[in-house]
Amino acid sequence: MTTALSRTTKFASRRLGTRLGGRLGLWLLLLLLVGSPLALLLAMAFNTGDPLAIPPSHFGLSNISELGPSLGWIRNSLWLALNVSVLATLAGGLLAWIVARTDVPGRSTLTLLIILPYPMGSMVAAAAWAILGAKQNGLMNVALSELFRHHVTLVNAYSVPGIVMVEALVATPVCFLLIESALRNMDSTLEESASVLGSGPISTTARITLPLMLPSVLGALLFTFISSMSAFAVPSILGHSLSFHVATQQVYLLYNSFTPKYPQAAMIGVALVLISTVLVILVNRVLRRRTYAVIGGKGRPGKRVKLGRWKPAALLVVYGYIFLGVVLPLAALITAALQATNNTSITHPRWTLHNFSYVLGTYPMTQKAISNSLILGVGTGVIGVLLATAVAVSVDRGRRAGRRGRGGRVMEILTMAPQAIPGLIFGLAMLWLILSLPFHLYGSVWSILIAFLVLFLPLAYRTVAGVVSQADSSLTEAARTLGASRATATRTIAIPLLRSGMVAAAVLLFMLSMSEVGAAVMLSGPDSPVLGPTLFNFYDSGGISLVSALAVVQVAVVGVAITIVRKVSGRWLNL
Amino acid sequence: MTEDMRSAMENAISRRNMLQAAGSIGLLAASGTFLAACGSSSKAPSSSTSASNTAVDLNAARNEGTLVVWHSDQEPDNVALLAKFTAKTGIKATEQKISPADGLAKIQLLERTGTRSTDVFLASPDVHHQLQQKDLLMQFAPSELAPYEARFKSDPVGYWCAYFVNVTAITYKPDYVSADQAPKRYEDMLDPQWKGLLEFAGPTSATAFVFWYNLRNILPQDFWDKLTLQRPTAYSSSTAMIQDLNNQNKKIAAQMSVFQVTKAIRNKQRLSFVSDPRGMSTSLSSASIIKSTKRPNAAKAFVQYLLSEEGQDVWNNQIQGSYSPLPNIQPKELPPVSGLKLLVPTDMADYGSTALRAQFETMWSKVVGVA
Amino acid sequence: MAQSLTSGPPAVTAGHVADQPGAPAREPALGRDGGGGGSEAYVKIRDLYVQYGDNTVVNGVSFDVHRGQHLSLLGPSGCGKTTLLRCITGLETPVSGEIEIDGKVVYSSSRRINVPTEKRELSLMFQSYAIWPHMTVFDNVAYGLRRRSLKRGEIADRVQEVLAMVHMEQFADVKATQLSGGQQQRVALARSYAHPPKALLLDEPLSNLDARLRDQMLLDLRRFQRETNVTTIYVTHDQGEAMGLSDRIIVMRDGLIVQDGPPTQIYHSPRTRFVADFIGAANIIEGTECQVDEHPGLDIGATIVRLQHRGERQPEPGGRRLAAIRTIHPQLRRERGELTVNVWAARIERVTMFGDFVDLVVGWAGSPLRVKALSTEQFIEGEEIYVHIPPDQVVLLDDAPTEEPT
Repeated sequence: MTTALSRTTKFASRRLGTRLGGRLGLWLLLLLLVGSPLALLLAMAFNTGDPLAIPPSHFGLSNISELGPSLGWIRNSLWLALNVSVLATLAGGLLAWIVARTDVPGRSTLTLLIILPYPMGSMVAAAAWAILGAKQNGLMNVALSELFRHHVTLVNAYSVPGIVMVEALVATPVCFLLIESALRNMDSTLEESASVLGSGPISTTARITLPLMLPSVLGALLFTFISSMSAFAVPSILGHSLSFHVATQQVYLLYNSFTPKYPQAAMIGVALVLISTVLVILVNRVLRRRTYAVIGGKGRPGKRVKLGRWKPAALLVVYGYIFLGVVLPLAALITAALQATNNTSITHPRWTLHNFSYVLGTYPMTQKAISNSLILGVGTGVIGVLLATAVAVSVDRGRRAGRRGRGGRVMEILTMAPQAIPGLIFGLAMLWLILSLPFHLYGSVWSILIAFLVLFLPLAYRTVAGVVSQADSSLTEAARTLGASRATATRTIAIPLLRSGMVAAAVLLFMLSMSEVGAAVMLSGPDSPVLGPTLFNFYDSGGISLVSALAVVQVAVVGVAITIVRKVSGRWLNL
Repeated sequence: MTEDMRSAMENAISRRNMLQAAGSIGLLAASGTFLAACGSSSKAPSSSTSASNTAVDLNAARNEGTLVVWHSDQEPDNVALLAKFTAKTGIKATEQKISPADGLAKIQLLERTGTRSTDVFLASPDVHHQLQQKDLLMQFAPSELAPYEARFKSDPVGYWCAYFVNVTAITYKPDYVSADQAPKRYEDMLDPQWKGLLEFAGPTSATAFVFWYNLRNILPQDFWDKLTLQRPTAYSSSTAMIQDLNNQNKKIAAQMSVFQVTKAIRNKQRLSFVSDPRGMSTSLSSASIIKSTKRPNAAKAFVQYLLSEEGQDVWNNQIQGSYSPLPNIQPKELPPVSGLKLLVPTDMADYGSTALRAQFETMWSKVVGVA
Repeated sequence: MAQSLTSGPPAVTAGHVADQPGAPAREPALGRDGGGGGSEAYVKIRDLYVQYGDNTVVNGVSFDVHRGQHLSLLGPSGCGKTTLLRCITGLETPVSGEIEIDGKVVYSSSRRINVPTEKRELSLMFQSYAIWPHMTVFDNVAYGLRRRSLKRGEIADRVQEVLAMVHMEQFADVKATQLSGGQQQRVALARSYAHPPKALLLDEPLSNLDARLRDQMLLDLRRFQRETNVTTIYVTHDQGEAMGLSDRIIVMRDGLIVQDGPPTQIYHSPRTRFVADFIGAANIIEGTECQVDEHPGLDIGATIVRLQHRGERQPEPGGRRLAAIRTIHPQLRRERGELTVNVWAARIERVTMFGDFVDLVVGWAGSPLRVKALSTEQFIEGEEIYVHIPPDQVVLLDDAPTEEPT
């Protein structure tokens, strides 16, 4: 009896110990990963001493005045972000509604094709539209001119609308994913009750579905807005010949100045982070005021709207997007990649396979970049989801228990904080952190992995937290009362229940890390080339035919990877 | 065995006396025997790592791991150069494109934390001059440096040395701009017909800075204000400039590196350049070894190779297509350098002045409309 | 096998089913050594306190449950009943106190013992049933058995057996998500009992079901109780459930026990206004204690109501008291008849039809009196009648009038 008692006592205290230890560890990890780069960014912005000092030792407010000349750039960034986010959310929302709520055929394939432009990335899109959309020699205008035997200028990608369009094409899939999952999980009785009350399908959609979708729509808007503020590749490639420059380009310029202007770059970064923080708070406030308990697992899956004579229009929208987002860019890249000169032409082409043989054989970075990107994709996916799940479970448990609720809220805010940090800015903060640490992290894949983990943590958390909060804790408690230890209950109940959400989040992180340029361009080194930045550097020096060949290779890798991920995760996931 | 030892000794002697032996045949022979010597025995007579020692232990170099080279040139060109180097020496090497300013800052920052940056840094003399003054460069003066004129080398010799001469010119595509129409002198670019159609390098680029530095006392005072009104566009690379000339987004590249002309000719494309009689803005690209390198032998071997007559032939005649500092190396696609007037900065203290650079960046940002 | 438990001779006698000689189905590994049942405390709760921050949820509760007893913890939401239940299972940790199950201390703040949930050998049926959606019915029920590493065949047999007990044997291979609410409830019950627990704890077992299903399940649960005779502790806010399912009710309020007794006692002799109101419906009258013809009475101003003293509290003539009259007790008649005690002329003011019953508001002694009568008696609004309140149904309450405003 005594031994049994002492054993149980020991067990109790050990259990309490590991629980507290785990929580403390999670706190420390989050503070280290999210808090320290942000703190350093702030310190750098107010550095008035040696501009290259990391961490700085002299602080003052004088750098704020240096923001003056940058205001125009920041305004451009906001303008671009506004247009892109609105356009992408509209397009993504429309596509999501067609795919999730109508009887359009071939939904699974359509979903895959609609998502594809995202992992292809903005760099690939920028290169493709550089070929397609030039005013004079762009393939689109040339093709149309040939067709009509008369010079036609339909598109000019080298323009502000061009930049907006290309960014929006790339951002649409995220909006699609966010809104589609909300639409799919919506309780259709809410719509049905509207129909019963005499509301037609269009009016039901406008009056019931849309307002109910507000959280996911706002979420998509916010995410796209902030990630467009970080847009770097597309404005650099399509915008250089305009006098339209965005804030991240200036950060890059300041960073590359002779004697780099770190404090000024950091100050712009802080300004961008502040702006997006205000937006995040505003959106959260709007959403908190309207609490909907509609997106839960309990509702019946929605009835699909019969398109009838609208079917051609819906198909036109879906296939139109796929054409502009996947088919046309890919065709342009392949055309350019197969040509001997950088002057891509469809009227007088000189065909060659040399660019592919160079990119795949001669150029040593390709294979490294592919394997690094895959490692990063899988690593970010797996580790990021585990981290997000740990945070989500911890926050959820605190919320349910009632106590520690405030701690959980702070933990949630810390986890969601990176959503307000543009990728390039975070890459910069991370770079400074790494440059100031005595570990051989600079130029390693690990540094990029850490940056990606932090940057994508909010999205992973949001995806996983939804599932965690739906998985009622009584489900694991039931297992405990039936004789399962905490570990067994987690293994047999909690993880299987969370699996689909976790896999979905992992796939999302995989795609995000395949396409992220801003953060990686700051951190990748000769030993850690990754696809996005490699392509970006290549653009500066390889010429469009080589860039295209590399881009085609990147698309192929992403396509194969997504197909495999889909196969592997298909059992748990309705992608 | 005796044969090997004899050639090894020959090798050592030949390098010690390289000041006299300037011929390319001698150089090639030396490299050959050098390779043979190192391949046969680890007891090569040159195994010291002392900074000023010109000897390189190739065998040790191969075991130092992959050499890292930072550069700010075209990536495929450097890939090709490193491939040639590896093929010749068996030393693995990898490159990273990094702007000179970024590289300069990172080398200093990483030096503070004691972590590695790069082994070889290909940049420009002003950047190297700063690093030299901060004692971050290794002094390495192999005999290959001997044929280089003093203006292409550091003082004292061995910290850095130019490996190509980056001549820039007013460039256009004759497909879209006729020779008559094209500017003949820098001031011709101020003609209203070129408004919005001019290409320049950006404010952080060394090419743009050197353009202004070389011409600020030659061109009229109001040139830069008038240029601003022409609304020129800033580019981050000459490849992007070419792309926009091809697209007809722009017509005139004001400061195109002439190696693009070489490349265009090799690709059977038409690209013409104009030489202003008052001189062409020219900058140097130079090579240096970071003092704290963990791969001293590999780094030395690379610099030695790059500066050798063979390396210069490979880089300038076969790969990039610029003028070499060595007078006997000359890309066949370009006119003889002797017929051109080159404006090259020589006073490194003045040219490398941070204050001057900052002044330029502010001014140039306005000119190209990125302020 | 299943047959013996479902339609075999019901185990009506006290004691555990495992001790019944006629229950051959029980595997030795699954059985509990009985040791006779009866009056000894099987689950002991002593001075249990639970706090969340400054909020005391359970405020020093002690009670015993006997083997085979069916106890209900009854109270409004927030009274601490569910927390108490979760403390017994170990899902919640009290601040102080002691819990003993079957002679084994599972929690003791003074001795620093806290046996983890899975070692307490109880089972809890959740309000949401907590049926795992990623498993079949079979896997759900087999879960507890698998944790005890039984042989595959034993598990299959036992699962079929308990599924048969809840009439769900044909659903073994059905995905849990395809079950209706009532089916989920049966599966949850089977799952809780597959490996017989020392005590079966049920958290609001019927609250998620609609009215008809609730009645059916209530009967099924009673049958299940009889067959298994497992010690059960229910938590409910529904007096009907509590009355129907248990042989003892503990009424809780604000973390304290307010009354503890058999259902009839709780119903007929509420000790406080709270219990009188919460269980069934009652008219509460206030007055001064007095004597009428040697009988105790309550002077409510307009009249004097005769009553009978029950319970511990001694009469205090002249004191202000509350008394409860259950709505079913007043008798309405058209004739005064021979009754002399507690008869008043009254008037029907409102009639609300509820099917089997009618709810009447009677104007009586200057105040409305609610009366529940069988709908076979038809009264119309405005009708003058007589009302008789049997004195033994007027229950003096313990709490003083000021304690309960409104």
